[in-house]
Amino acid sequence: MTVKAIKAIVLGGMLATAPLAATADEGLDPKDVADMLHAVMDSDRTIYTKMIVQRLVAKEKLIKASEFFEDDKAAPLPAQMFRFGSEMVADKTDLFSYSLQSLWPINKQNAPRTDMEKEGLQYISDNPGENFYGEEELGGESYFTAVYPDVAVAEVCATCHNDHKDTPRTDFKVGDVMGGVVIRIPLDG
Amino acid sequence: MRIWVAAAVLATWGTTALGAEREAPPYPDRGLKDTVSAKRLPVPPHPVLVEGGEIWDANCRICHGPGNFGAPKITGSRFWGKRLPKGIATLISHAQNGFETSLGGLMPARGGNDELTDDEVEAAVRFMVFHSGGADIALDGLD
Repeated sequence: MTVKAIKAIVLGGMLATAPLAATADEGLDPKDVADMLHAVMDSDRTIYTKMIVQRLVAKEKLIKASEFFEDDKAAPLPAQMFRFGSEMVADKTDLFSYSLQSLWPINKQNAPRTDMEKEGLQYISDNPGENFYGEEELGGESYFTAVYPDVAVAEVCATCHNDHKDTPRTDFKVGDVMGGVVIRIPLDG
Repeated sequence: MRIWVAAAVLATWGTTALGAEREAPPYPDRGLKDTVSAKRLPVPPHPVLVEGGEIWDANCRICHGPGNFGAPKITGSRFWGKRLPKGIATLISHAQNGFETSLGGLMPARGGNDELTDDEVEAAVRFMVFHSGGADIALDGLD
């Protein structure tokens, strides 16, 4: 773990015991901003998984969910819904970006690219339930980077990944960290 | 000063471990900030719940620690308000066997760990309920 990452985690712990450290002059702490963004993402993703995939696909069997949703006239998979949202946000703003990544990606474009992404994904895998916070410099710009665990919350999550022809890992089970949500916020300007 | 404060806390929870204090401390109703681990919480007043804390940390914390994926966060009493009245037996059964609501809520059986025994799941549930506004029912049926 880098010094900056450790500092960020310690800072996060300190903030946890203090009132929200935000004033009109200082703005919000980037950790709080990342946590707020993730709360929205996690809630939307959970609702889609539960109320569309789990309810209409698995329970009621009214529709199908498929990676090839257009050809199959099906609903997109939760991970695809998440990626479509992140792509739309990237078109709208450069104030933050987010992505769903994994150390065992089915789609290779979802593999970590920066050292901090790799470090963060490894950290949340080694420390289930914990988030990762750090700072990194990319292209001369400083960024606050947060990584949140993405967990197999239902059997269908694990089996879909385990059975996919392109998966590099086939032993996921319910409760395992399969990847992480990476949120990046520029610190300069 | 810090030493005295720490000593006072230890003394308080020392008596708790002996059964003199059977309430969890008051937490914010949305729960403690950030991910909650068992080590952030005081030791509960019964050996079953103490064991439950270790089991909870290893198996339940990943969802119930941060309150992600729709799981009610430990220490967040507002999330447990509709669940606690079901009683400890029902909550334990849901955790042992899995639970789905008509709206697609899902709790995987044994948190996805098939190797957990019924007693271990029960201990973990009691630990979580104790620290989530249900200290009274968490101890129901225990000697």
